Amino acid sequence: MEMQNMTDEQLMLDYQKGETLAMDELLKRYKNPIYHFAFRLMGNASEAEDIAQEVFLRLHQFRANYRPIGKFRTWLFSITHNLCISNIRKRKWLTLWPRKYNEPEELVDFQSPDPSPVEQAVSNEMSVVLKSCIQDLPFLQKEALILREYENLDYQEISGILNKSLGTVKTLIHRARQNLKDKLLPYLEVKGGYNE
Amino acid sequence: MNKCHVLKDLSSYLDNQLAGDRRPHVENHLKECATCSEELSRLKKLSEQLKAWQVPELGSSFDNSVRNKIVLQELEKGEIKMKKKTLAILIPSSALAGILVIAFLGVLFRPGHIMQINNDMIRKGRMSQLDARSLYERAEVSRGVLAKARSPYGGTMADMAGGTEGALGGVSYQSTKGMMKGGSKSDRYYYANAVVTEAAPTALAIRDVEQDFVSAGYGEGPIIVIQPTMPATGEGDKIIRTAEVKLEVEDGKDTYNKASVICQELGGYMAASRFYKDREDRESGTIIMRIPKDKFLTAVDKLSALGKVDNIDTNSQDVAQEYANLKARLDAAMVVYNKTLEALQKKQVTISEAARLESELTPVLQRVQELKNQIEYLNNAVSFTTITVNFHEPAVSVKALKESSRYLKQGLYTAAIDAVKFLAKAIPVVIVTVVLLAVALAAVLILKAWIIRLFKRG
Repeated sequence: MEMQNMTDEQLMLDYQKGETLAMDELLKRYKNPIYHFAFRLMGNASEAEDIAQEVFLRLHQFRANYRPIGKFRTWLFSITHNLCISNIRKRKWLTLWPRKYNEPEELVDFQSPDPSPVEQAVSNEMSVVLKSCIQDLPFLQKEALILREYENLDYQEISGILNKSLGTVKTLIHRARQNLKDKLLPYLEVKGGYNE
Repeated sequence: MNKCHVLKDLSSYLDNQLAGDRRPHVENHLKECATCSEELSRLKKLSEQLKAWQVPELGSSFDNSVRNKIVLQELEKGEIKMKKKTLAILIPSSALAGILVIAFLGVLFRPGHIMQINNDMIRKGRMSQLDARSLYERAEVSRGVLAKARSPYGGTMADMAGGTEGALGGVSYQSTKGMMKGGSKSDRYYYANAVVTEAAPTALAIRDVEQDFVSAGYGEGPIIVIQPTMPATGEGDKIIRTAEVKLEVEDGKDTYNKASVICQELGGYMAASRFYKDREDRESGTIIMRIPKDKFLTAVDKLSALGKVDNIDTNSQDVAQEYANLKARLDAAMVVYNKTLEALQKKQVTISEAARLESELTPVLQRVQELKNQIEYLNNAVSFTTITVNFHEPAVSVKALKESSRYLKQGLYTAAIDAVKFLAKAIPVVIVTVVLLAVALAAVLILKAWIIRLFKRG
């Protein structure tokens, strides 16, 4: 079977047996999701890249411990989650100025297929506000929201990654959206009701 | 404020994560409730806005970086394994070496260790002497037997040729082969002068003698030493015995005193003695003592036990011939003296003749006196053996070792006390420092919390 057609779990089991090409395929599949998740969570590109590298190094280091009980993706994001928490703890010890690191180092890059000058101006303004609002969210709410919105993970998987119950995850996402909606209310003008 | 009961489910509904029975209920409600419908639209728009946030993708350099780090990790793991292996060998080896060094030092500085070594050496020396004594006594007995054994040959030593000398264990021995002519026979004889202070060479020499006698066809017998014919003195053996004992001792002065006591206990006397110290405070000396002949071996044994025996050399010289000659000459002189005196005492002797006799009597009297003195000297030399004890302290004196050991222990003890005193003095300083550090740390933490709170408010 070709590597591209294999499931994540099969690839990991192959890598466990010493198949180095499996790591290449896993890198191809997950380097960007992991990097994006870390980037959005930490708000820092270089830190996110370091975390992504560390995730794959740990994957290699603990490959012998891997058991295909749950989803591989859940396991990988769990490692990322733990590393992010670890980095945040380090920050707290490294500085007495925690807010400094919460500020974005890079501008949020919003892309619009064909933005008008007015829309572009609104979008730029909103991008700054949105980023600021996301960063101000409590860590777990922010994490649950990012996993849902950007990584399209279902609640069950998020529950596994955060090591929280399904109900807690549901509440976290709901509150994250409510918080964002309250802060971004002027930008979320609704022209019509619900239509499905 | 919107208080619809489905509001909390809208987020899950949007994500299509509602349970099966709950979803139709929310859908029905949304058709009826404009507020909830509007809320859902906002959430959808928020979700769309969020999805517009794109993050740049990682390039292939990331893959290479990860692979390189994995390789490095493997190498480091190998090095760590190697280090662990090395440590696994080094740590127990170091611990073992440490234990051995401590044990060695412990034994080295154990009181009486060096004395123990010396005692061991003494014991060895005494063993050797006991063997030697046994052999000596055996030789003495054999000499008497030999005196009878040699009578069939009836002659005297006529020739002495060949011979060997050597040294074993620092003690000399001598054996001689020769020819003895006597009566009608002319036979080979073997002379073995056994040095009785060392067992091995003596035994060697005696074995040689016995073997040769057997091979010469004289049969097995207790023949060990052949002695020349001695004139009968009628006063027992006239043998002058001397011994020289060289000792390495722990304490020179102590040895001197002990040797003096041994001499007195055995009924002897000190003929001469010399005692001195060198520049390095090492003591040495020489004692010449006279010991009654029947206590000779006892004295040698006791003196040998005073230190580590470097060498013992004993010698026996039979002076029976010389004694007999002196006695004969004395007898002759006495005859002349008595006759001269008798002639002088006669009444009919003239004055001139009396003067001549007196002049003749004077040298005779002198010769008689000299001979008596010589005989007296020989008697004294025979009845009192001469033992010379040479003793010296070793190059590295045990006293010096003990002294340095004592200084070392004293130094360590003083250092330990000083360390305890220093710690006792430093304890208040340490306590104050720790308290100050704790206060400073608490202040920093409080300040940090205050700043964080301030910024949150701001």
